[in-house]
Amino acid sequence: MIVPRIFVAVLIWISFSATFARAQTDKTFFNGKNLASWSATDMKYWSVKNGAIVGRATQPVEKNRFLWSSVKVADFYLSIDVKLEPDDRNAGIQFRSQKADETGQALGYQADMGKDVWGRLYHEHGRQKLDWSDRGEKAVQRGQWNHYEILAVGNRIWTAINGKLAVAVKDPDGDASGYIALQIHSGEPQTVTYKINRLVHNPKVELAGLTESQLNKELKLPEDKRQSNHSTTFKSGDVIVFAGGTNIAAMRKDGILETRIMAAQPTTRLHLWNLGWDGDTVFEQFRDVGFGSWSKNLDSLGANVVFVQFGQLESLQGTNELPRFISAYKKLLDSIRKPNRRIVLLSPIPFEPERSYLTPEGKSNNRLTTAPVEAYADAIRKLAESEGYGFVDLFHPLRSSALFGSLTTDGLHLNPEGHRLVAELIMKELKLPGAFAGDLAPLRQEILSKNVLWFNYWRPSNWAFLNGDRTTQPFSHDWKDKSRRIFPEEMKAFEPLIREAEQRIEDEQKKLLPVR
Amino acid sequence: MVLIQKAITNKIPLLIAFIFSQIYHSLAQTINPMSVSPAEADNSVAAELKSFQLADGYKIELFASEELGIADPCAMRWDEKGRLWVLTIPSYPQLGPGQKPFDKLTILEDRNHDGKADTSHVFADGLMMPLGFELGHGGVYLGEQTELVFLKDTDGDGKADTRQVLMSGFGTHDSHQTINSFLWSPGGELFFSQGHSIYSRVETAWGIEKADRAAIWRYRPLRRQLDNFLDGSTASVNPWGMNFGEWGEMFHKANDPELFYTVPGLVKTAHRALLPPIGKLVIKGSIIEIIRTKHLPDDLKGDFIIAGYYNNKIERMRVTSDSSGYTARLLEPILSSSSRSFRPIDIKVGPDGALYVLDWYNPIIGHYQASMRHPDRDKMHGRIWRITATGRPLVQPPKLADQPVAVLLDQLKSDEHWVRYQVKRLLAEKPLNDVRPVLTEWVEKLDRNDPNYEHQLMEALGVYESHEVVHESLLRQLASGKEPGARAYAAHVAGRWADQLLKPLEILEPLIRDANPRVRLEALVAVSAVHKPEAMALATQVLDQPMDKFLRYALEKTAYALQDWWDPALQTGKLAFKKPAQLAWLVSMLPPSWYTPDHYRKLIQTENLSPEVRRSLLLSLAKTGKAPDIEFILRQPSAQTDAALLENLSKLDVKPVTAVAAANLRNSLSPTKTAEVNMAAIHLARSWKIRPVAATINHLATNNQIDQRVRAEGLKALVELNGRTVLPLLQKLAVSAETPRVIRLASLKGISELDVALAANATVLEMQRPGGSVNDMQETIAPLIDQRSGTKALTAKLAKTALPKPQARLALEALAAKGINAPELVARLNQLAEARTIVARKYSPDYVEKLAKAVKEQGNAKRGELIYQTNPSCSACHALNGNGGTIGPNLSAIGRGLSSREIITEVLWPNQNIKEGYNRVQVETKKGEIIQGIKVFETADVIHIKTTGLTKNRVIDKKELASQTESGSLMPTGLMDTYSEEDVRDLIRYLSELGSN
Repeated sequence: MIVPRIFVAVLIWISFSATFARAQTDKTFFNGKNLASWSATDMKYWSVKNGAIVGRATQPVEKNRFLWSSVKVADFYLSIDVKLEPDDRNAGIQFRSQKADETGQALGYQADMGKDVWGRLYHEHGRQKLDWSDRGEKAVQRGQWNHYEILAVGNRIWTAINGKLAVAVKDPDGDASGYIALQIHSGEPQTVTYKINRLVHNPKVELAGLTESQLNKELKLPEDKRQSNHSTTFKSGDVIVFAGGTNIAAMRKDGILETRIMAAQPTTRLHLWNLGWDGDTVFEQFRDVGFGSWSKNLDSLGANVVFVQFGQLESLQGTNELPRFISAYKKLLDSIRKPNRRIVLLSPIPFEPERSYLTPEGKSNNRLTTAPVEAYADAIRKLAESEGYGFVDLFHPLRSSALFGSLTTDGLHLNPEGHRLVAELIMKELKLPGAFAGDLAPLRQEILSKNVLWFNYWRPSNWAFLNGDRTTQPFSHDWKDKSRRIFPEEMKAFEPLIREAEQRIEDEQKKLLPVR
Repeated sequence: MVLIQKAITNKIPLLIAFIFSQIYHSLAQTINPMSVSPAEADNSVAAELKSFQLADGYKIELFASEELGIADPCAMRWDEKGRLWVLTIPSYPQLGPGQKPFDKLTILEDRNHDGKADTSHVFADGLMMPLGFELGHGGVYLGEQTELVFLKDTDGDGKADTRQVLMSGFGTHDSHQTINSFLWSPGGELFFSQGHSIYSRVETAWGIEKADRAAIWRYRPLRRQLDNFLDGSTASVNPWGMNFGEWGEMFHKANDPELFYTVPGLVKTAHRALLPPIGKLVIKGSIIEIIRTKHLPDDLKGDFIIAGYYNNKIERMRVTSDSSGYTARLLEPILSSSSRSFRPIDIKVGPDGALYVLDWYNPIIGHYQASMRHPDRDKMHGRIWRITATGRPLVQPPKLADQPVAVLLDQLKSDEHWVRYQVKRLLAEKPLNDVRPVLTEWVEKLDRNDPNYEHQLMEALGVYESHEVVHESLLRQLASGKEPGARAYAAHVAGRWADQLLKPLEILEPLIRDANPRVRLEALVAVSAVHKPEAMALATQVLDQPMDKFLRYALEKTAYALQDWWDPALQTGKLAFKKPAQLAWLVSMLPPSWYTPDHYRKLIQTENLSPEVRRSLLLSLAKTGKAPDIEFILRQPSAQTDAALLENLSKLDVKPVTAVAAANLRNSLSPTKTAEVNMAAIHLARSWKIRPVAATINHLATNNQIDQRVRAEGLKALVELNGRTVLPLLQKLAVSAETPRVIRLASLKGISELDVALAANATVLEMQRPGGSVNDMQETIAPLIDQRSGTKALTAKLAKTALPKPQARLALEALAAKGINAPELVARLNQLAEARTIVARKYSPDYVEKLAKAVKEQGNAKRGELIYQTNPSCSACHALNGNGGTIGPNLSAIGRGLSSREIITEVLWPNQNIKEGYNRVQVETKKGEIIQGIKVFETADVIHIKTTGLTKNRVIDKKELASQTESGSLMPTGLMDTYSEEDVRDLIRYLSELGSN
């Protein structure tokens, strides 16, 4: 009795999808015969021919021209075949848009088409470029019919050209609904033919052969909402934090990057704290009882610029674990995301397997040779793009460096040469000067002594007695007055010392200024 | 901790920092209140020498002291030139704010060979509280806080000039437990350990090595490979000191009394299980030196010398074979000292065969017991003692420095372990190209008839290992050696080379079936490193021969270590076992997640299953099965005979029990079965609420002919099954004079569970019965006291009811022995007991000082001993020279560790300082039962609690848990409230003399 059972199952599925998705094709959108539900300030440009809407300008057009539909859309799917003649002209499909003035100019999203703009997302009369990737361009057949699809659901917008994904944007607080309008761009005479296939309200989320979750993975913030990598100079009083595993933790011991940052802006007072902790991953940041979580540490420091590096050790788990890594990374970053906090993701560095053993006989089947750290680095770049974080690629420049192969002490962890190269890359990405005239050694010395104080204050030995699970032991108490805890008092004594160390750094910074 | 941004405005800290910095540099000479052990009045070398009592036939002399810059030494190692490297850490236990690190590694030299160091120079300075080091590869491996570093002198000026971080991320949460006790294995692996409050995360090319709490680390330098074993404090809380026997058998010493044979624990897996120790001291001690020199008396050969830092002794243990492992017993010490500052912390036989003892010299042993800034923490002294055997010639060490490989290799035949250890290290650091050809030739030319031939091969194999050179033929030769030690070592090396050998299992197969159990154990541990499904099948072949606790431990861990390989292979039918019983064992140990009831039923049919395996399989079947499977289980013959099976079933979640299954269970409740089976069946009925058998249980419970224990358990079950309807029966039984006591107590228990007010009435009636011991009284009050609101109900009842004076006194002592803090109840009982006045002593430093003075001047230890012995609450929890409970700290040498001031505080106000690991835990079950004691072990599912009453730990299923609180000491406050000042004074005097000679 297998057949009836399948039958029942199908019936259930159909009724479910009907109830929950409510996808609905709009028959009133275009009747295929005339422009009954359409309007324009000057209808002379618009006609219907062979079941398609034709926009034709025989003379140069002074201003953009739009043909407005009377159907309001919010969550929708639109399928159109379009042809530009000649093929270097420009047109577009407005959606969720409003009329900007009485001349029928449009304000809102435009699925763009034309030379150098095919498949890009523009915000007409408003925010302008939103997704300027060239994916759509690559799929276009110039001078031919091109199949153009738009899918907008909630704050997620995708387009596809000839079945290839073009736009994928997550636009929080963007235009939620509005009207569709077809464009002919100002300029030389042209003919645009829009063959409307269908408009579906409340569509299922699938496009270009991709499922909803695959489509979601492609989402990025629109360009105007992405964190600008250009405003990277630091402001006075900025609290900069570096967080990650051993490669970050080691930075406090060499001070190379920190020295350059301080030297690059000698008149700016910056606080820089290294929260690198050996073995930290996106999955676990081990801290002892009473230490406070990773994200809490950032908050108590008032960090407003955070450099984060994860993914290197995680990549030892292989490609299969990459999705789990990205979702854990995203979640971790969500926990520290704040309006006034800039977050920059540093990619992991490439492994140097040949450095992971001391003699040829010591060579082993450790995981460095097979770890897909590049895939992790690339996925982190995508994460940064879609979430609007800054990103510094350390992987590719290091791998293509002439020094690659001699940048680590043990195949995983940077040696001084490696730290110098990483510092250069980060400075370059921050658009800060890479070369300095003065002698940086005294500045670096002060930075290193500040870092020692910082480490002994932030992650002191005997934590169990300071604030962990052994605070009631006599150890942290006064020897005469048992009720008095002297260990926390001692720790407080670090604070003025760190202040003073920072002051000495500032003094050294000033010495780097040219003498007038 | 408030982070820095918040605290800029605080101006006081600078002043505090200043004060502290003054304190570090000024040493108070006066005795200070609240010291852990009073500082010696005379800290001279002569005074300390006078304090020594040495076993006959030995002589002790000073080798070096603070005069050569040795202050607070914590570790020492010899080099090939006979120079002694000493690590000193005066910054311990905590560097001051902003202070520059100032700990040192110093080299001592005895140039004129008079047995006294005459020069010293500093190799490395400015170190930050390092706890251990070892020489090797032309430099020094040093454990310095979060890092394992390599120090090297590259320009030959005798000072380290490069510092390379090899590994980082070791925990520092407690500064006496950071990585320590570095030692080379015979194969050139660097071992070290970490302690109980340490949590490490180290990034390696194999992934992140995580070790939480105490663990043992193994580092293979050429591969940069780091592995940890036995984390979770599963083989001592604070390991400190390890050593290797002549055939590479590994041992380690806890800082506590226990000694461990490490090998079964060298199976790498995240699965944790407590490794059984092989012996113990009376009280704490660390370090193992195994005597292997001709200079020291023959009788000492092979004995383990332990640094008894706690009771100021140099202890001696004799280690003998015990099946696949060892057992150790304590012999008379080599040395005892009456100086409380004599703190042996490292012991090494020297190049001359003498025993060198590193003396931390400090009245304060370690760490938490005293304030971090206690002025009595000695920062100035440190001694190295040299013990020689009188009338025996010293050893003349051969010249080893700058010698060619051939010369060094010949020294591998030396009787002196010191020589071989140095040579192995030197050969490991020479270039392989220099070593390999000479070594090949040396091995070929060895005399095959030499009785030590195989040992020489083993040493050669170790040299290859230290260069990570896989030498399969030599390995195979040893694997078929005559000496069991040779085969055991070969097995170990096959495991080490598991990823380099083509067919490691082929080598291990005969060894896992070896006639010698120790070979089988090493082979088993080695198999656990072979990451293949077949490895598991081979491992289980060890079951073909007699098992013991070490083999069982290693096999259990191996099942976990290899699970990723055998489990999927078994599921896809790609793994075959030699015997079905081997598979059955594996499944019983680690049931695969995909196993179905059918799988289990089939496996249970296997012939020759041990009762344990059968029981475990039946339990797994019960866990996964449905009603028919429960029928199947209760139908098994073992359900009629195996009480443990029924007991374990009762601990599972409630399962569906059909009428047929209940009928089967009725068979187990038949009076013809053993009382144990009856009781277990009752427990099962109670736990699974099998009401159809309630009538059967009722028959048993009310039948005078039946074993009283069965009746008692039956009554408890009826409470569960029939609820308040049993109250009349219980009340009748509880008060009837004819009822046996066990039944009365069970009735009290039942009433307590149902109704504490009624229970209080019945309990007070029972309490009023004349006679009986403290223990009887404890049993009487326990059912009610251990119930939610029970103490309150009893207090309320007693407020209105009188008790005879002797009974009131018994009740007071019972409460104390049980460790119950119930001030109101105690007050009322004191009132009823009338006889004594109550002094509720309040803590004040002045009071402590006054009492301490009285203890010193007037205390009578003999009287104190009497008080101790007549107060049953002391020995209920504390061990003294082998007698008494173990739930409280061992008091055998308390006077060596604590001053009388400290003991006063511990006795009168136990909540002030709670010794590490002695926090009270109190849990309440969902049924309202209260269990309090010390938490000894915890997993995701259960808590093991050591209680005052039982010798076995209570294991509480977390599912049954309603609440859990951890606070204070298990020792109740006010134990001495009814004792006079003189009594307290004498008792303290007695305690403070414990451990003295």
